Amino acid sequence: MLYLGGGYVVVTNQMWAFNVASSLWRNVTYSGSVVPPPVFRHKGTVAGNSLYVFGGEVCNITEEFYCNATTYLNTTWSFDFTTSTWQELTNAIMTLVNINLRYWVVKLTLLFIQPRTGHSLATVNDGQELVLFGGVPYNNKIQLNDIWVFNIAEANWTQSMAFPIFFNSILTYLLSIFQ
Amino acid sequence: MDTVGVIPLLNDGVGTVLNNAQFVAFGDPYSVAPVDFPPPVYILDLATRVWTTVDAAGGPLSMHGTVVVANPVNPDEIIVFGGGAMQNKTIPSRFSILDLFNSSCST
Repeated sequence: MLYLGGGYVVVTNQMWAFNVASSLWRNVTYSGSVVPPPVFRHKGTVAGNSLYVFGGEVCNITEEFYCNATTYLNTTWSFDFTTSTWQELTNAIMTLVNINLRYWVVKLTLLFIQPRTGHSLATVNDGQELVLFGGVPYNNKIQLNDIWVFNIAEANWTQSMAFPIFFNSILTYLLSIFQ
Repeated sequence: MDTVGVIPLLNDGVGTVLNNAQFVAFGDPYSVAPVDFPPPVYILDLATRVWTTVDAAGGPLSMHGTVVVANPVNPDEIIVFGGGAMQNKTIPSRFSILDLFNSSCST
């Protein structure tokens, strides 16, 4: 349930630009027919000429003063500022299981990244990759501490973790399902 | 960091750095009073550490849980995407003190 200080809430997928030199707002218009859903508590970061957005919440039921039910997202979107177009990028799918016991490192791509909100998202590696950390899954009973890397060229999420953390992550995931 | 000026109070507030010189914040002014329409943009000069409040009309409503980034193709612009738009940031008459307490706890 989302209360916002007594305000009347409408979740939006609009984009605005504010110019600090002129102190003027402008509404950014989209080209193309594909746009992300209205979303809040998502995270975004810039790499190259694009904005990358992951996760957040969509409002299912808007009652008089608040958003009464939300669905958490695990979708990745990019917005190209040069073309003003949105593109939905791939969710993580099982593409690689690489266990290197010599270095006690497990590289694993799970079926999907848990839908979440309240996570962190940053651009790294000279704009070639994004890093996602933590957040809260749908049931709000646990907090996540997993780290995912999105390779922009390959449009794919991969999870890398030290071996002991692997079991903790799996346990956390299972708890999130059965709680 | 010690700063001077009106320090913004933002609920789920977000911001970004422009030109390695300014930190620009925007979001949901944390207030239950019928204020902040249009919501201001807060700019911190990183050299002088002075906050400036810019009341610019024609922009979005207060945005709770939005995204603010620097425009990669225009270094003077911040980009605001998505969020919960506050249509009427006043205290609804049917709300009780308990509602307001829950409101503070829920966000």
